[in-house]
Amino acid sequence: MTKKNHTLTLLLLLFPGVGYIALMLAAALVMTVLQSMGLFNFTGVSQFGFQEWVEVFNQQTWDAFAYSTKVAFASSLLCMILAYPLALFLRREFLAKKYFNAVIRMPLFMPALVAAFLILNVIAYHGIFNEFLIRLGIIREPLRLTHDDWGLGVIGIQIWKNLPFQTLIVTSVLASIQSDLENAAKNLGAGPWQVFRDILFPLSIPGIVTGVVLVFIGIFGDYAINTVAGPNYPPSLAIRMYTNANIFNDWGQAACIAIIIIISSMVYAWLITRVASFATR
Amino acid sequence: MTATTRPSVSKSPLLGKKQFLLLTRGTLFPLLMLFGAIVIIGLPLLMAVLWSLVDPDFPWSYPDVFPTRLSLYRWNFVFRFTGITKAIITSYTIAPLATIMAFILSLPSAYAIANYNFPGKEIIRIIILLPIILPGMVVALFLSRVFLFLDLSQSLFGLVLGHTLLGLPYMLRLLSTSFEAIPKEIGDAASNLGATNFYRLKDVFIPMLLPGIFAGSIFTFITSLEEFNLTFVIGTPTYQTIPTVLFAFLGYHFVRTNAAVVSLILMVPNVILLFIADRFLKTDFLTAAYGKL
Repeated sequence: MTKKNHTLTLLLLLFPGVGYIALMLAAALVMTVLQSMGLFNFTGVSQFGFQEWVEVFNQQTWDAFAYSTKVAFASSLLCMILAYPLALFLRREFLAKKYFNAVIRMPLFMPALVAAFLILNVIAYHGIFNEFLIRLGIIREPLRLTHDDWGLGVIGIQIWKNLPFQTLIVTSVLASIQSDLENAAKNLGAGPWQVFRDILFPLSIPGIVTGVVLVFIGIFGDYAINTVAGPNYPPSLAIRMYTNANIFNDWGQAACIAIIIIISSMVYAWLITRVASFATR
Repeated sequence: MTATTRPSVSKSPLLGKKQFLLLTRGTLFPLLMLFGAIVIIGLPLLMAVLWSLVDPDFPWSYPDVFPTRLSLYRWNFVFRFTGITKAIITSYTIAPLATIMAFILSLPSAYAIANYNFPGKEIIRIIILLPIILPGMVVALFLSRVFLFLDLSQSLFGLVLGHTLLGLPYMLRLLSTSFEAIPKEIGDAASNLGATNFYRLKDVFIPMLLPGIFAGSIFTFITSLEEFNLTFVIGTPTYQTIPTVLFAFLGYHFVRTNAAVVSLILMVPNVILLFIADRFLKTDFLTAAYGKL
């Protein structure tokens, strides 16, 4: 087979699967960019310009941006803080490990909306969580945890939903670290804490960052859970985008917000990676 | 627990401090963790089941910890007076179609990714992951504009195309991992013995690929069943799927009991499917699907 033929075969083979994804997403992204520049306006006059971009940076967009950032950072970091010790715990053999593993994996199999509903029941105003705290005497009045201004309900749902995924990632990262290093350190007299601090933790950082970034991006661009459990104001960026598009029929503004979501996701991902690599140096 | 602590235990004749520690760490702590996990994961599930069984004549309200009486009234009600039956049919029509399409599209590409070395392979891997990484609502909204342009909006075919896009990453990854696991020599041996391409595929590759195909199909199927954003933007109001019905009950018209019924309808098949997959497959395919992201 000649070289040219070889390349052609490769391209033909790659086209159905990878090409499908590339074409669909490229079409959607090109459409977004064009609409944010005032083109492809289905309802009004299409005219190239930066008018949409001038309009989009208003107080409401900033509020939505700040809210999404806050919720995404809080959920993804808390999720990691919970997942790491859990993954360390899962490294050992212990009683009924099989059942423990099976139980904590359950949320992985649940659709986001179902997870939202399940947690909403628990944290409702007269839900079991509030009742429990009141009976224990920790609080007098039930806490308002759904549709609250801080997005606490959303954070709770996201942690519950993403914890198994995050734990899975940390577990596989920890498993991929060579045990020779750990054994060598133990032979030289390092205690468990020292092994963790000097070997496991630094070596697991790159893999863990991937996990945090993935969870962060998912939460940052979330629509459904914020609609169901989030505050009335501010909306998440995705909600604001959707409202602009399908309620106000202002696709130009929606396209601008879409680009803001994508670019800020990328910037945040970069930032998290930078901070992590700086911290471990 | 660890080897270093074990020898020192035998020194104390009674239940010494170390033995006590061993007992707590070995038995008590794991049991406590298991209990905690069951409460945190199981309690919300139990509450959903209870809410779906509340009898409207004996409402479950503030002071009662458990509903006073259970009945199947709500299940009857939801099936009779809401669009759930139609939504279930739509969901279970789209999901197999999207799975089949994703499989057909993935087969050649996964083969190429596993067997060819070429520059830009990393970029291909990133492109494959994009449908999962990109914010769902952004993709849904602007794909809906493209579909409007192509006259695919509000059509079943458009929904299948969209769901295929979201299932492809799983299918491609799982299939290409399976292809990678097949030794190259086997294909060559088959051709040496005179097998044509068709028989090589049918008798050699497909049987070895079966676990990967199975896992990929389950993941694509479940992704399609769960998908909300795309169906919501492209399909409603013409087509309702189970997630969009659930969203309606959770959003504007919050009806807890109906939402409980629909949640269970959506969730139970998922859990069963993944449970079967977990039993059926020897390798830990969850890690294969998510782990190397």
